[in-house]
Amino acid sequence: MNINESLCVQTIDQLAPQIKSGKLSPVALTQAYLERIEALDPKVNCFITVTKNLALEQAKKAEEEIKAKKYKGPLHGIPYAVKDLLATRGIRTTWGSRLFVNQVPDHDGAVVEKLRDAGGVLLGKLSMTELAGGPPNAAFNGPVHNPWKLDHWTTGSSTGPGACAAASFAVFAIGSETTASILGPASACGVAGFRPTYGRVSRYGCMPLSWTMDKLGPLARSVSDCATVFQVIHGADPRDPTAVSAPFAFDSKAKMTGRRIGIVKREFDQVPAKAKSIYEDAVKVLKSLGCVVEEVDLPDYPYGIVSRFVWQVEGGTVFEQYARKGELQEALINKSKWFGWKAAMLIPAADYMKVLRIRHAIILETNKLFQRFDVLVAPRNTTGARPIVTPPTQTAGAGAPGGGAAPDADAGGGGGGAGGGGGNLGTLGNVAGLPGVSVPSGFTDTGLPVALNFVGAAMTDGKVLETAYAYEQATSWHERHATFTE
Amino acid sequence: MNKKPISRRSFSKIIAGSFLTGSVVEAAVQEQQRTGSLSDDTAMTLLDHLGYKPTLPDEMKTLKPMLETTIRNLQTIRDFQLPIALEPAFVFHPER
Repeated sequence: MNINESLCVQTIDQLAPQIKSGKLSPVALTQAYLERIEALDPKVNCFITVTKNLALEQAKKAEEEIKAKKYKGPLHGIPYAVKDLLATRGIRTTWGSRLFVNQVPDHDGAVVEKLRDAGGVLLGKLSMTELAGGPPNAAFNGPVHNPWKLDHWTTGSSTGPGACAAASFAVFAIGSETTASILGPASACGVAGFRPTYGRVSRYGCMPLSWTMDKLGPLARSVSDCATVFQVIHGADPRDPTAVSAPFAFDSKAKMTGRRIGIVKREFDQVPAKAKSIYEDAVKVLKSLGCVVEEVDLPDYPYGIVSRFVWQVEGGTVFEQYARKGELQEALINKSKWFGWKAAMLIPAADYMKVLRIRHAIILETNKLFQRFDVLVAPRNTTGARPIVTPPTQTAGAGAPGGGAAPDADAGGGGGGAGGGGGNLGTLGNVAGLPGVSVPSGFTDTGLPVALNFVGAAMTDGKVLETAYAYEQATSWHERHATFTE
Repeated sequence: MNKKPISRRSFSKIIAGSFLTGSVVEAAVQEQQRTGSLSDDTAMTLLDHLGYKPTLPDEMKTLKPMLETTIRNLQTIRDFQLPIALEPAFVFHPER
């Protein structure tokens, strides 16, 4: 599978100096990625739209600017791709759904604007499960195949971004997460994924699913690249009232001595026997870095139930106008999705208020926890990605029992809570709006990636990234590249 | 707990009783607390309430468990103890 592999697997840290010095042409780099996508994406299916002409145009512009000594920074001339829920002017933006398959926005999303202004080169729009949630087949263009084992899934809903980063079809990808959609695919695809603190990246131009839980963030082949991309895309935006500006610093040389790590005992205890040694080694690595590692139990809250009521009620409200006309139900591949939203809306208003009070209690308790720890850590995707199984003829009720599939059905063995992926730390992280990073931590005996997830207090994005980076650099898992095994 | 499904007559009484609260949801909550599950009648009533008509023959096999889970989750929320003064997370500021 050596289609320009030695060039395309490189990271921003490796490529940017070559581009800045003129040693590497952004046009040549873009062409290399486009060739690789053309040759290999039919096996993976991670692109919905490849923006070839735009990419070459942006690459040429970048090249001219750099030759004219107008270098903009580390993303100048760097090819990337975005999940197809981010608006791109004049380029169809399907939200992964038959209902919006011909939607063409007249504006760019804020993240797309920022990446363009930073000199990035947009390669295309990436696959996702319909309306950001559902099983593998719940995408109008079919399932995305895991580049490590093509008959396995990537986990969703950022199926395309996870696969794109793993397959080295771009230097980085932009995904989104409501309950698991960045960290889940990153874990299943053996790449770094970063879910910022809620509100640090503008969601202007992004499909809404859950106003109080949606976040945009990068997936890439290194944690450092995630930090570099976040540096460009974070910040307040008057078009998104939830977006704030806050200081961000990432020090790749930050010392880990004394950094207080809480390993979530319940989730480490749940690691299957075959994977135990992987996570025992991971803890040893953290200790060898000088971290102070201690077991911790998460406070006892119904994280999954709170998460599920919030995103299902909010998501149901977003799409209700289409449901009233019957269009949504007709278009959905996973018919139980709408029903799950509807069922959640049975909740009386006073009880929904109680859900939000419990959510507040979770935030307050979590703040106390982070007075004891700098970062919490838990295993993710411990049995590897699941096979893509073509379901029987879809009936309207098919789908996970219990209120419909989570928006980011993380079925990769992470011990998902009832409200979405990644076990209780993953669910807690999203209910409380906390930053999280996924880093590869090994492989199953069948060659599928497994991961470690790092979660920090709100607004400590830099610290979480530094800790995850230190772990990554103390191992070599991130240096392995996808094998496209059939 | 009596797990025997309730009869239509009993269900109708419950519905009549819950009329004062104006909620078919309350009837479903009471039934699930008493029997551990929802009857087909109750599930259909909830679906009517949602304006949803099952159209495929085996839909109820998956819709009913989803309704039961929602009702069960609702009860979990109701049972959860909180300090009286704790306000909801209306305005979402994770850096609180």
